[in-house]
Amino acid sequence: MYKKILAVSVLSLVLAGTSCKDALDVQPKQSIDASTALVDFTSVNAISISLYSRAQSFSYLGQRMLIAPEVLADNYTITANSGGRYVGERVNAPGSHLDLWNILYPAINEANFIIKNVDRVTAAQADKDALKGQALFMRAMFNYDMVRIYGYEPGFAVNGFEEGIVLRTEPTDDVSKADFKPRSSVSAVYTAIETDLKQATALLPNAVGSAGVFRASKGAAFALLARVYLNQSKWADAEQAASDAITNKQSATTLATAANYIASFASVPNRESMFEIDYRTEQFSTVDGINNSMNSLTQKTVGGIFAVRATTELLNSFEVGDVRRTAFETTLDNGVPVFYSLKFPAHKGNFFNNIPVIRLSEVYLIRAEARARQNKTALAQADITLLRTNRGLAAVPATTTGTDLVDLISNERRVELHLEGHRFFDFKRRGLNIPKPAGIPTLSYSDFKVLAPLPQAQVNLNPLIKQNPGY
Amino acid sequence: MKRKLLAFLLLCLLAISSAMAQNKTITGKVIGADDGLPLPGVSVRVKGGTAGTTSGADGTFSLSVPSDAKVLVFTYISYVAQEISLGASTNLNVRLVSDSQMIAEVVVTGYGVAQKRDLGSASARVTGKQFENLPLQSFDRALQGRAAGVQVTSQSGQPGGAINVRVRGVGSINAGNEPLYIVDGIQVKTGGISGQASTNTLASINPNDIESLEVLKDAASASIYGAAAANGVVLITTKKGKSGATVTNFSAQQGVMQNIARYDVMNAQQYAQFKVPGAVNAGVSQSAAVAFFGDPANASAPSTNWFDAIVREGKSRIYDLSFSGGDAKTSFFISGSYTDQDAQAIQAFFKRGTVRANLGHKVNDKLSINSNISMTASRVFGSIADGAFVNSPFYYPFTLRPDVPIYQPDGSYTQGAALKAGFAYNIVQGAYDEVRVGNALQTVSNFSATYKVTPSLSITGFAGIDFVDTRDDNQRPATIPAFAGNGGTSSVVNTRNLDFNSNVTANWNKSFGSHNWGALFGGELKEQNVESASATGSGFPNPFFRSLQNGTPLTIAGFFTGYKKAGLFSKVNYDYKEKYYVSGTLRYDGSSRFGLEKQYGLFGGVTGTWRISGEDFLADNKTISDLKLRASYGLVGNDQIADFASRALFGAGGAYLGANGIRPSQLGNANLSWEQAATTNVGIDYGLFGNRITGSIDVYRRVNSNLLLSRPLVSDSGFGSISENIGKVQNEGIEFGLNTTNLDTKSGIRWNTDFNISFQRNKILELLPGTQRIGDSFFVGQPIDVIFTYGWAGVNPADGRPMWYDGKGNYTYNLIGATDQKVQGTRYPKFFGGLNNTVSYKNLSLDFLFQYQYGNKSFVSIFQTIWNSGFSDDNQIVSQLTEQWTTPGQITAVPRVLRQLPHPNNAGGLSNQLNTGSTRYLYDASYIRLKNATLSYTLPSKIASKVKLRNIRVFATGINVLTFTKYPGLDPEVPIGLNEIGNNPQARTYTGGLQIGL
Repeated sequence: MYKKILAVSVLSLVLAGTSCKDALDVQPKQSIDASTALVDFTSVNAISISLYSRAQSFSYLGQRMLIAPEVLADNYTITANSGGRYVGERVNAPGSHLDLWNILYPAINEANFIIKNVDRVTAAQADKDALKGQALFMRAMFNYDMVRIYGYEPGFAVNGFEEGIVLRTEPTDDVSKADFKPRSSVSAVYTAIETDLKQATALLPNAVGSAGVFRASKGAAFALLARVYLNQSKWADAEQAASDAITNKQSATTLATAANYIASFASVPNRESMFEIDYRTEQFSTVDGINNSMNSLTQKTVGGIFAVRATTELLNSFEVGDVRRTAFETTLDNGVPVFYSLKFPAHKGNFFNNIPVIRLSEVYLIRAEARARQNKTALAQADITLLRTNRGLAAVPATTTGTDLVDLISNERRVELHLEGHRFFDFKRRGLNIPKPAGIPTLSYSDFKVLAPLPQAQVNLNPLIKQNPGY
Repeated sequence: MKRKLLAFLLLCLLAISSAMAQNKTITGKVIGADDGLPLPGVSVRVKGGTAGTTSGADGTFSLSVPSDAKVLVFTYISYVAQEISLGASTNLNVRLVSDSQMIAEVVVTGYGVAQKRDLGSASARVTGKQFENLPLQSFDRALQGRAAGVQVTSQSGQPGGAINVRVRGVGSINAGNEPLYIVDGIQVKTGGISGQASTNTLASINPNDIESLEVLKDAASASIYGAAAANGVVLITTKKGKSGATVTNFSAQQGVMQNIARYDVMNAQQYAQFKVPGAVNAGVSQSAAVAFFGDPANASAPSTNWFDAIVREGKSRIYDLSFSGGDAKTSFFISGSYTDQDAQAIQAFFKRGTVRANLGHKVNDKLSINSNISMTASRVFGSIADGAFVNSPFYYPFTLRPDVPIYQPDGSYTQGAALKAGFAYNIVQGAYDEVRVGNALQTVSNFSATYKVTPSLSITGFAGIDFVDTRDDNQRPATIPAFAGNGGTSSVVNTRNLDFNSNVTANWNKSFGSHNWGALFGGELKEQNVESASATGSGFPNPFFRSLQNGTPLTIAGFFTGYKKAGLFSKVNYDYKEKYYVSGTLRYDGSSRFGLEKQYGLFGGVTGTWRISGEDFLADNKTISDLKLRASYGLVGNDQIADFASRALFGAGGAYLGANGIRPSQLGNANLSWEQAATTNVGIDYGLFGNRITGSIDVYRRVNSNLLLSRPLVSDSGFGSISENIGKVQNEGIEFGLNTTNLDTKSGIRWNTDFNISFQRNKILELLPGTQRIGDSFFVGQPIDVIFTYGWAGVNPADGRPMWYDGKGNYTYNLIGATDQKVQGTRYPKFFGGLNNTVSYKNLSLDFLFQYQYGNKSFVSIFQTIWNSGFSDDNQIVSQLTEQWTTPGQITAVPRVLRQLPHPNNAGGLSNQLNTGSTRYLYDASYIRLKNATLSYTLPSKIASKVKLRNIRVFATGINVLTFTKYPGLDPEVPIGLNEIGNNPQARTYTGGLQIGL
């Protein structure tokens, strides 16, 4: 009798009490514990996939980073079918702007995980360099895109407002690291971006093969560095970086000709790509393709949205004979004839294509502008003439010099790079007012709406960061 | 053996009767009044005397009584004791009434049973009898309106769809609010099991297999379930066989399911009249506008009613067969059922087959074993989802243009640009061509053995599984233009869910004179594993090929989650003379979900009860037949947090160039743990006039603290938030239950009424430290579920522009999100409950249940699409045409119709458009619904016995027969926490059936 009681008691102890910790041991599978996540090179390398995946976001290079700067300025406007998209951007409504704060900081954190851990794991030095270089490049690009949204331009502060963004260089691997940090100044942010990119140019190899442009490469890093110098009016540095970019480009990357300009947007990669974000079907569930893709939003297709169309101002800025003007189609928008661009033709499948982030023509445009600003007129004219002759246009007359030349380059940027996310920033970086289509007042550079608001929740939460003026 | 027993009994009786020559012998039969089955073991004795016997297996008895005996008393467990006056007749046929509401019943408690008389807890009980043969699909629906303090809302009108059950309000913001369901001792999984249709795991139990549902509402009674008990516990007990002749029950019913509600949207001519002037205003030429929208003057323009095309009269068929019986050692209940219901939306259906075997056997005097085994296969075709989707039957048809035909003249579907819709999807084609099926195979089965160590001590070992295997298929063929681009897709998701539950309990009961003691000790382990694998293929050669092997692989995915729980528990009861009761419960409980620093916790409760009617001063009271005062306090946990919520994790990090990435997904919190609920409950159980009136009153306060909240982190850290235990919520309420026998005449008229009403108040006490709100959702001092939006000020009669109130209460055209939105109401009712009446006259019986709630608001989000003055291109409710503002000075609720562009209300952001969410779309959703009504007729037993049947009953049942509400949306039964947009509304169901017993 007592034996039985004993046996049952033991049994219940075995069932319920052997070891309280063991009894509750369950390990996650599709996620893994942070302590075991970054043990080897393969694991750290896998984070770099996430960086590119972040860049694919429709809130970023997948859509908004390309369209919003066009609608915020004067290149594109909405159709009757936009379904609420870009309605505020069209009139520069307060708060209708790009908003990358909550999207890119997780990506920066991931880049920091790579940079911190890559030197600790075992692998060939070349592989580790290439990985670290990519992380530095991506971190620089994320910081650069944010600082030009949330901060004024170097040398063009309004009312002395110099706040940039929060600089994070250490991975957040514990809640204690998620501390309050203030915004760094715009110049400090640009210094950090420059440092990252210079290091990246040293670490990264040249892109190999046409697929090499789908990841960061030495040429891409020089090209981005050239862009960054342009923002800081460092003309000589910009010229040098652009030249380095051309020198270090992937060998197959060449300027498109008038004959194959339109086709280049339907080739993989774009023949001019220095850096291009690749997309596969897995990024496009059916609904994403229709609701969010560049193709669906910018073109009139069966089942697509067609949310934005080219403005008359953009169409009028093309010279007669420009092959780029033929890359538009016309359609009816509730009975009114309108035009849409053919830059995103969904040649990779249902509503999707790759996104060229930096094209060779932009590098020439950067160098031309940098040279013109240094009064290297002939060299600047040569760069622009090279581009124009490849677009079915005549060479730049030798008589076009000084501000005329800068203005011509500016218009050349407009017709070459529309719908690739440059228009708004091309005015902002020079401290100029933002032009708008007819009927909408010009946005003064000193208007608070030139800057995007920081997420208000972040300002409420963190006493160390200041909201942008006016918000 | 039985015969020998009978012979022996007869011999004894004979001996007694010969000894007492003055006696007379009364014989007869005792049957259950409800089912006409013989009741074995009924105690029969002479009132005030000593003579007594029990009925035999066939319900017959024979008792020799003194000739001066006046009254015989019949008592039987869980039946109403009955006194029969002895007249001239010496043969009595006695019908005992099983009354679920009677105080003397046995109720199921955590890990045991108890006499309801002895209980000090707040619990609600619904017996299987109350919902027998109702076409409910899942038993949780049966709680609706029948259990005080339990609010049941349907998430979907899809047959077999999901149900929300909230016991005494909502205590958690981010953790689960579903009660713990325990089927025959197994803690089962709840919620949906299919990604393709609204489903309910609990639909695996055939409602007709259920003996009783017991809802433990206060923390003291639930505290034996420790960290899992905070949302209340529902104990489900399935039927068991009774010793005696084998009883066979068969029922069959058939009926229809009808759509109740629709929105009256414009026809083709109305649409043209509505759209063309606006387009012309916007600068489009008249001819272009007519070409696009149709001719406003054409009264005979062909018009499509998309909703008519997508709803139908569904069918319902249910068949049910059971056998039960047993002998002195073994009992069995075996059943099978088949349900086939076609929903109100075309193509959608619910099919289910169930089998069950409940077996019990006494090996010897010491050892008894028991097993409940069930298997259920179900199949749900959901062609269609709830919500604002293009394939949602209660959303999209209302928005589609009426001037577009469903079919082209050649019989093909109208597709693509011809639909003139932003997303060119023909919903009728979608319903027919797409496949969205969820299949489930499920078993909830257990095995247990009880060993009587001594007469007062028994030990039970128990093990059970809840196993669900599901397969979801979603096929989107290339015939639909949206899916043509990649040649159609087909996806399969296989998910396996295994819950394992085991425990050992020791039960001890002993009386020392007037001191009665009881104790329970036990240990329990539970484990849940959910694992799924899925694949999608595309590029099918033609639309008839849909198997994965005919396509090209597109995506694969897998998923795992799981947790383990372990607990030790004990409960001690003491009472003195069955008048003063005290009991205490403790449970030491741990879960793998909790952080390593706080993985185990101690939970418990105490209950004190005074059974006042047991006191001498009430012994002969003619009015008060039962009175009990109860008080309890308990502390329990809510463990429904995410399985790995406390861990620092790296998870999937997207894909690029065909490689898959990882990224940090969550920061760890080793202190993350259960939410805690402390409930104080005071209640009274009463019975008046010989229990013709019974009921209970309960008052409670439940404070949930350590709520799981996301504490925001600076997002530049890379993380938006971390989960911590911080908030606090309070629920208070009062519940009344009243059961009366209004009529019980000699002529056979009987009328019973069960009424319950529950008042509840929910309030957030604390959120994150130093904050009064979380976003636009949660506010200190407000209920959890509030509607936070703008105030609608109507249409300006001068120019037809919509107006709102700003934060200061002034009219504005220009809303500012940060200052102008307010809490405008809550989705919680002020009170809710039910009223059930059963009226019977001899063999005819009418049973009807009204269910109601009052004071809850609902935001009709679909009106932002179809009641927006043509802000969007969607079709509109007719009032947008007929009541639109046209002339200065006109007072109307419908603003001036404007094309989307250009549009003065459209320039300046998204905050002040014609479809801006505001109190304009917020309505009172109070309602009273005749939830079900059943009329039945049991054929006289003479007729039944002629065809060798025990009984024959015919019945007609209606579900959602009538609804009284002012709510303008489709269905006032809106799920808690959701806006009405595309929700599958409740259907009206009529069925007729036949029940045969043999």
